[in-house]
Amino acid sequence: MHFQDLLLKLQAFWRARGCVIEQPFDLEVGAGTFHPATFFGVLGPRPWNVAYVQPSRRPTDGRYGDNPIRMQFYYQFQVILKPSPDDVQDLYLESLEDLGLDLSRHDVRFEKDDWKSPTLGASGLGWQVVLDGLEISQFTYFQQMGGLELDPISCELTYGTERIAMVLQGVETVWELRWNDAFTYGDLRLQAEREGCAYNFERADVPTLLQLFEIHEKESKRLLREGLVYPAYEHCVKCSHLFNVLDARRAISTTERERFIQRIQDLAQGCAQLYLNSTRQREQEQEQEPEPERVPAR
Amino acid sequence: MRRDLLLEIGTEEVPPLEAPRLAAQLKAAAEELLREARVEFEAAAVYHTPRRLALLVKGVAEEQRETVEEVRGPSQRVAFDADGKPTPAAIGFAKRQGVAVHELVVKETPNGPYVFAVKRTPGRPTLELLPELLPRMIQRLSPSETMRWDDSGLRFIRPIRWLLALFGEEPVEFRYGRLVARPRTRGHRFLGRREIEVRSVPEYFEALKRNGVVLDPVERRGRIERALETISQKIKAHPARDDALLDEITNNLEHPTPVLGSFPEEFLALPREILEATIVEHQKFVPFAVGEKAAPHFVGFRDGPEDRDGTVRRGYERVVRARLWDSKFFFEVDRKEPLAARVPRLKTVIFQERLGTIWDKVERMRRWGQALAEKLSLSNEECRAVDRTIYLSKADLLTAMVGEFPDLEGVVGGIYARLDGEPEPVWRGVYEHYRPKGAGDPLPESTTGTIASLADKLDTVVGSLLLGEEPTGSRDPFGLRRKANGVIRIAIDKALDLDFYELIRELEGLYAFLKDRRPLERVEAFFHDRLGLELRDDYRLPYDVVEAVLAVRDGNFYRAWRRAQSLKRLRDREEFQQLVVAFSRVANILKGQQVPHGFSPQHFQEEAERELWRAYLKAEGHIQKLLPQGDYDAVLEKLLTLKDPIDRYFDEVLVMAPDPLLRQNRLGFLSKLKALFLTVGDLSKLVVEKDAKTKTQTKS
Repeated sequence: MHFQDLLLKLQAFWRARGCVIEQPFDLEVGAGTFHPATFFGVLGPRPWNVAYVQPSRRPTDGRYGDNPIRMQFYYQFQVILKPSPDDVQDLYLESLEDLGLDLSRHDVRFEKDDWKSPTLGASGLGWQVVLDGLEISQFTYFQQMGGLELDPISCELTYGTERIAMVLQGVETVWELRWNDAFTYGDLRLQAEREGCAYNFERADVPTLLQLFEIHEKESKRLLREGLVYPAYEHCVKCSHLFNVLDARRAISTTERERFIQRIQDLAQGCAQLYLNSTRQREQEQEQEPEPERVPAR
Repeated sequence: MRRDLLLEIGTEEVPPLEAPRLAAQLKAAAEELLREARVEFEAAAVYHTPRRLALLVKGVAEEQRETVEEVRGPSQRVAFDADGKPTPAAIGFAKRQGVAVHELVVKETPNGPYVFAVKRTPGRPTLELLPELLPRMIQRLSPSETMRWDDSGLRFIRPIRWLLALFGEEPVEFRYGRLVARPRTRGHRFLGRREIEVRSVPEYFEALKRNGVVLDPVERRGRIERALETISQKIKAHPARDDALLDEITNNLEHPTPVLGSFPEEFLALPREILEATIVEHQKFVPFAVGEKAAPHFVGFRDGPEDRDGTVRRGYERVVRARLWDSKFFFEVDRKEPLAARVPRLKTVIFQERLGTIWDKVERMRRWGQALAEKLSLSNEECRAVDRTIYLSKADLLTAMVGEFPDLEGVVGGIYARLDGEPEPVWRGVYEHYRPKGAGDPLPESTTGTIASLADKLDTVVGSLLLGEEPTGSRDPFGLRRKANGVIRIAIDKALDLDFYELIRELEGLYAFLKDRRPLERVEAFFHDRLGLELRDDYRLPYDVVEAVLAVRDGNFYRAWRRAQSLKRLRDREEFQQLVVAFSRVANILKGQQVPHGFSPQHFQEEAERELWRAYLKAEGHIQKLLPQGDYDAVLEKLLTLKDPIDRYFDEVLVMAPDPLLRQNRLGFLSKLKALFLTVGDLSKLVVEKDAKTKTQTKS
């Protein structure tokens, strides 16, 4: 199966199970969890099922394209099921079979992995799913997001699409993956990967990044005060990515690290709180408005 | 008639360390609740896989034991008339108690004969009780962490998805959260049927076997061990022994099947510890070795059938190659500069906000190391090796390898120091200086490692406590308890005859820069508590012996242990028990008294006083000679010579004499006498047999 078909197939699978098929978030993020469709979607009581591809950046994971399975940029496939269905593990395994994996030939395991994202103030319990020794998914029952206890509980499924494709295509490195008949993953991504690594590890200008961090933090705080949830969150996400690059650049010492994380977490928590308050307010307003007379349209 | 009871709690994958704990809790809960409910049973057993906890209680009674209650009614005189006929009082009583009049019995009581109603409540059928008991068993489980997964409000380590309960051949129906127990189980995810009807307890075990689940962890462990054995013969290499790893594999799979894989020999150039950590930490595979050298093989255990077409093997090998590739990458990056070159950069790594950088910590550790080396009279050469060890000890925190494998801190530094050509005492010292990492972990073997370990731990513990960062409850972010335990274990096992409190006082100045420092007393109190726990829990010394030893605050942990050993050895001898009683009299009379310093033997008046004084002088002379060698057995023997003089003293001398001067003189002497005993411990804390006490007490 071509890499592009795998992405399409996952979308089709989850669309058939009632998910909204969203599009990627248009900012640099470390994982699909940062997408507002997840970050905000799991808050509050409203049921919400969504799936989307999310290009993700993890600057410290870069290996200049030399490592067969590690890179600083890749395509996550993210599914949120809220509330989490009772047969969610079976659903997930079905999705793998749908991709053409014969589960009886492979070794599929759910290995304990308690997931935490300190920057998002998020945590959950679950597993990493391991396929023939290779971690291919993260499977998490979210308990907290933005520092808030969740109710109902959402289940997050995050597929490492390249790794699943590697098993399906039987190739040795991610770069050899066939994207379609004409192109490999390497054709599309290798140069960007190498240059991304050079930037993250060597060239990123630390003073500039630090300055940018301050600017976005300030913006996020201001927007929170002014009650604009989404824009405030976007600047918070910017801070998170800048922090990741600074980290790859080894520009942050251990304690500073904690403090940076805390600063981002404060923004994220502010956003989560503001989001809940504003949706609650909106719902109350809607309840108070008298139902308008509805004339069925013909 | 008896039946077997079966309860299966079906879960999503429970983490491997948790499953055996929960199984043990389930067994305890079942035994306790059945006993409380007066339901007799023969034996309970538990089994676990990642997807199920199973409880089997054999030979469970059909019914609760009946209860017998006796209610006292009127006296016999009131209940029966002269002809022995029941009176209205008896008839009314019988009626109220719901028994027939002729069933009333007469029993003798201290107040004379009375009428009793004996009420027998037959036990309820066990099958009726189980729907209440089984949910309570599940509720009693307390996982180390919990989560919610639906709106039932239940919390558990991972979602519970099904419940099965059978009493013999009868299903037990009960509700738990949103679940209803049904006589149905599930097979292995990929080897069995999804849902299996189970009609009896034996059928359950049969069904699991047929559906690919090896329920008993002991059986799984056996399979794993046998598979490793067979493979090691085949490839002529032996598996790297690691019980924790094998336990984890056992607990993690329902149907373990070995998969042998290999990796390219070029990776054997990596140091063995790093190679093995890569294979073990990330993949949970078992590495192999030939003699002391790593072999290019590993065994992974898959959860499923035999890997006939090599799909799983190829997958495992690909991942191991990628992992080793990464480790090699880290190794090569790290080896571009010697370990020593990293040390100055430790100035940029924060140790603890108020305690400064790692560099600051290393500087303080060097002072601790120097002081320890002096107290232990190390040679100049050894002192230099200790200092170099400590100087290099933390440099590996800046390596990529430790970033990847935090558990290898110290080990990586040691390997790199060796490759840098540092002398053996130095690289070994660096390698070992985190030991012991916890209870049961080995101690450093080298002198350099021992001292570096002490210096490291003492700096963290003393510095943090002076800051007031005392551990509370389960919160101990700097691992101060573990580290203090480490110091104490090293001191005792290495026979380090030195006073740690004195050492800490001498080096307190290192922390003079801290604002709002807590008093040093807090540090000593902390170590004192830890010492008590260590002696009791790790060194298995009796509670009262430890109390006796701790009553004397002494920073010489090794000697505290020696004192405890001697007390334990002697405490059961009868004459020693009498000595304890004698000493207790000394201690008791001094309690709450303003004891003057000094006394004068010239003012002794009674012969018994003078006799005790002479006995004291003699014993004291010996003891002063025995103490430096720490021969506490002999010290206690000498103290025994004081027993009779003390007894006589208390028989004949009125300590609390009306004359204040006389009284003061006597108290002063007794206080000196007490001090001599305290060189071993406060004997009055020892629990002695009662008759030892009465024997001497009746004499007085």
